[in-house]
Amino acid sequence: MKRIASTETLAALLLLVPWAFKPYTANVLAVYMIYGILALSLTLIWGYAGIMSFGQTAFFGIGAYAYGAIGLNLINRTQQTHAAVLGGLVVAAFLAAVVGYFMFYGRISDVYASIITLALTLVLFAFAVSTGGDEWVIGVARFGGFNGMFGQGESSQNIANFQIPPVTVWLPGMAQPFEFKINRESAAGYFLVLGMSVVMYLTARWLLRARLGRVAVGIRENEARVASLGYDTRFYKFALFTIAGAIAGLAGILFAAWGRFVNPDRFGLGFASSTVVYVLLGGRTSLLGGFVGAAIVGYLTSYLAEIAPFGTIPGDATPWARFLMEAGRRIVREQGAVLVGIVLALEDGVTPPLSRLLTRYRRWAWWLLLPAVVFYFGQRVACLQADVCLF
Amino acid sequence: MSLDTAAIVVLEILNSITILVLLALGLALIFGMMRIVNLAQGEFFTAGAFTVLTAVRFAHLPLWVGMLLAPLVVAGIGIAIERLIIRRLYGRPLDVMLATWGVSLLLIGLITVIFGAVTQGIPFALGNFQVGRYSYPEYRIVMTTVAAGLMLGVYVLFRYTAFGRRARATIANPEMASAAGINTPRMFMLTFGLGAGLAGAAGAIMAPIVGVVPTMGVLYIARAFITVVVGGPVVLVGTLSSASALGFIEALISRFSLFQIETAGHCAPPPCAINIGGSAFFGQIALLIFAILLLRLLPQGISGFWRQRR
Repeated sequence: MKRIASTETLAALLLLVPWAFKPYTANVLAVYMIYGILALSLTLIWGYAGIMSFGQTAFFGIGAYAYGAIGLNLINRTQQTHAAVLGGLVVAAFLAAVVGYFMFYGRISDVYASIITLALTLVLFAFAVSTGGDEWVIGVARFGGFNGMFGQGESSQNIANFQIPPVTVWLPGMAQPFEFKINRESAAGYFLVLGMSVVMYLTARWLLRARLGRVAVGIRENEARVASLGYDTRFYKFALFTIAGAIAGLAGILFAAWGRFVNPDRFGLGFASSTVVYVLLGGRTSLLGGFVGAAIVGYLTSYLAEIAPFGTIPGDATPWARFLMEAGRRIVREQGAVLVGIVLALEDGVTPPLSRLLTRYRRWAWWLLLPAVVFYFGQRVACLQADVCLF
Repeated sequence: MSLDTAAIVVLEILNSITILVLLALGLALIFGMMRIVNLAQGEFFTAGAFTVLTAVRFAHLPLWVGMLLAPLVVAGIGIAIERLIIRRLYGRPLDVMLATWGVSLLLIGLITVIFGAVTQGIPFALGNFQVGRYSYPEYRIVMTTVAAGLMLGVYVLFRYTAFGRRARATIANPEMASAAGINTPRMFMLTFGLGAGLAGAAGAIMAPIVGVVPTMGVLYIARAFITVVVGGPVVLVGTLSSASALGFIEALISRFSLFQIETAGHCAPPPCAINIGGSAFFGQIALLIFAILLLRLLPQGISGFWRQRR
């Protein structure tokens, strides 16, 4: 009960955020949550079924590309993107199901599964990069190679090219289509992402309580014993992998709709490693871990990018100082050292010890809210004065 | 198909197999002997190429000296990493994988800081020879010879030398080997160093024919891993057989166009079509798909399948 309460408090606090903050903050928080959903899918398959998948970003990227391709074709004809959201989910789940079928029904070992998902991501990266030519088109959606996906105008002269649409709903009975955007007028996109995060979190928690999750944890602990009790472990792994693939695909859809853009970097090694770092840092056995990890890493990398040695190297630095600063910057940016450090030192991530601390000092934990509330209203006042508030 | 075309296709298949063997040999050694998935292997490859670059460009040594130097330098890097990081993680295969991934990102960053993120070429003197109407680079034949030499060297090393016997004993039963007086941590260290050195050698050999850039390892690591996984537990036989099967498929699909898909784009000469097959990229896709299908049939890899049959 305690954990549920803290989760719900967190979600309730996040509901209040856009009221006080600039659209920029809402945008940043939304992308942390999108990465959090991606990390949640990795937690599900890695933390609970013990299958390390480097391929969650592959399903994320495929979902994003599929949403983009269908959305671009739909938006000017039907003014909504229902089918694009559905299509993105189906494509991601289908890819996960195919790969999962071959991996788990072939009974290959877990290490091999990691390698195959890694190879899948890298091959998809090579594919997405090589689609720069004029012939790589689905309807009006151009893949665009490194430049990312966009909608092609009527001629080849870059006239009237357009971006991937945000999630747009136009149900029967609505006077006009409704776009889930984040700007000065509306925080609907933020609430969509927040709502999806909560739904996915609850779905994952429910899955783990259900038979599927309990068998998956059994497989993680001792696969032979679970199999000898009469469970078809291949099917349970396959099912969980497919569901995790669909969740990653949903994160990809939200990402493409949030940034109105997707490019091959989503399949890149850097993004794949970030996802693993989110989960490792947050803690792989806690469903909230991915969200915590994504927020910490996201905040730190964008914060560090602004301060002196990491953001801008002063022009008058000596070559050696410049070299050291450049090296330090790369170490922080590319998260290699973070990965090694966590693996060596901090096996469980930060969320379990944090929540233990909170549970132990429960009575005092509420005082933590005081600075948060002060900060919150301070932000409200500041953004009202600068006249950049959302509402 | 005329005779010279057939000859060229055979040569290209041989070249594909050579590249896969070069990429996978060190990885297969580390994975087969130590059960470690070393994701930093691609960066060992890169380090080998950059050693050659440094030797040729900055120290003005002859190319072959640089190529001999590369495996030694990279073996040194490998041993250092084994001592500093991997040693602490034996018995935790997933954590080793993550740690080596971190090492790989670190190495990419480090090499970029030192050499910059630009593609550099290494000049070499060999020319082409004629096969009927086609000309074919002589250097590829050199590569095949070196790959065969490396495989033979690894075979002799593990079969006939005292080091090889101790290493195999360590792999088969570490506690027993340790009780018999073999320094097992040292054996693990040397085996890892050897695997790293082989990757360095591969990088050095391939440096003249590819662009030398800090992220080059990433381009090859997927194929190397697929080869090792399809090869299965027996290091040399597995690598050679899976490299042959996958190299055959890759070379054929890269060479021949299978079919075309017409699209609605605005191409400069109007018929807008995607050729499926006929480029290196589709060769890689075919390799991945073929490997996944093969693993469904032979989950232990090719050599595991043969071992079971016996």
